Amino acid sequence: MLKRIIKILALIPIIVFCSSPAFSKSILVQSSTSLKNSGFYNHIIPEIQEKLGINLRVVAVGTGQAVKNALNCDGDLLITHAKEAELDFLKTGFGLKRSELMYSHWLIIGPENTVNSLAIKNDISDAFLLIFKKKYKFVSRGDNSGTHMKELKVWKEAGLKPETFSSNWYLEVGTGQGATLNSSIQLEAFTLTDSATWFSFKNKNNAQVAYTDKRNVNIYSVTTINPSKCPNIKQKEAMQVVDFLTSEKGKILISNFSIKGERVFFPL
Amino acid sequence: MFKENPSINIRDISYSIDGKYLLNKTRLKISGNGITVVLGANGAGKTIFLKLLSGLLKAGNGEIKTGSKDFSFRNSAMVSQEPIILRRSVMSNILFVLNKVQPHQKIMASELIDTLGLSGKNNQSALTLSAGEKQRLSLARALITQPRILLLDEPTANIEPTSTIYIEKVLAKKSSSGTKIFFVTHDINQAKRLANDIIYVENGKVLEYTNSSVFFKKPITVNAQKYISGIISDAQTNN
Repeated sequence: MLKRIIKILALIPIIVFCSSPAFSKSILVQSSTSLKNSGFYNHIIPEIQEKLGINLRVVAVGTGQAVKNALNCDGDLLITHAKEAELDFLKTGFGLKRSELMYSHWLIIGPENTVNSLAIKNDISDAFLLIFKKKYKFVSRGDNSGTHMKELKVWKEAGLKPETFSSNWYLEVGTGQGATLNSSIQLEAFTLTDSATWFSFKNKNNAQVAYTDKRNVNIYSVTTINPSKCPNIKQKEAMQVVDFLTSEKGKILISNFSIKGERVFFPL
Repeated sequence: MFKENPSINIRDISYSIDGKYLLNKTRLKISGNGITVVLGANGAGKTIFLKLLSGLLKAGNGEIKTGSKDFSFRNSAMVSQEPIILRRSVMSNILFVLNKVQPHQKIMASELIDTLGLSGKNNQSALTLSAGEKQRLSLARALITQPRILLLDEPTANIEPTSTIYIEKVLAKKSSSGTKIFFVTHDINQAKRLANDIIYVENGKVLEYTNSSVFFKKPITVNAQKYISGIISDAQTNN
């Protein structure tokens, strides 16, 4: 009898372990790179697993590519930071609902000896205009990412067209955020990035923040996918994740994320 | 043509982040000629050392002199492990570092393209090159500035043997014509092939600076012996 009880007791943890919802459900998230590189997902995934029993499998690419992947039904949820691209995605009918989640700040990074010249500018487009006038080297991601889209938007606001710029100072790299930052630092050039990426970037060398845009923040949103276009997506689980992230608990979770003591995301 | 260059005097340079010294009170008098290979485990301080010489990082204290003059970072060019490639042609990638392109520099760029085995690719988009070709292009771009000092941080770490051979040949040629070269590598055989002298770094300190043949025959420190024999590959503390 005693042996039987011991056997039953020994099985209990295994049953609990196997029935734990964390191991039964997962969704595929198409995401911008900055969120993954900053460590944000490492912060939220364990909490989502615990609260909802859902795991997030994250594909981190530029926003343009993330939207493309979602248009191929390769994803249950989109977390990106380019409003116009996201609204266009909704218009295609593949996107179901877009919810603004949080924001960080856009930063212009530049070489130590030149950064002060941008700091006094009132608006990010003024700072871009000054870069243009002075012909300071500027590295553009050129990869249709959310950051690249923002950069193009700011040039437009400044009344300028990058396609007409001299290749002596306007340097397109066509790579991800980390490689772009590395390039701009080694070339002693300016570049646009976001605060989460910058705070978590380890290879800063002598580069510094030249300008922080506090007027036009970098908004991240979650977009669910339309099951009538992508029948195999896990809509229920995706909605649960969105509901959690936009709830008060989700907002606290977002607020608690920091890099080297700096809070980088602010819930909306 | 060989020309004798003044030695590079490094006097007590240090670099720290958040109170932790990544390079501590380094004092060296390095030959102004030849290829100096910097060896050491991951995290030993090799890249920091190179970046201080390139001007990408500023030392917290100490000074670097060429002979009796202040070291000019403008005379140096650096090639990193991850090549910086712009979205434009191979030729444009080389020329963009020049303020104003002179006709002879276009000829020089073409010669570099040929020497580095990239013939016929002048107008090809550089983003379509292989990893090794990108690294060769990166070297061509550094050389077009005709640097007095060339700094290379593991340039052949992730590339195919053909590219490595091209790069090594060009470096040997440049060295013999008077360009001072600093080369970081983990490849002991490559170090033996290229080095005139060796700097061995560990935990932010230069433990040895000596002639290459002497170093490989009998390194002074036990850890350098272990490193050569492959026992140490990551930063270790002796505390």
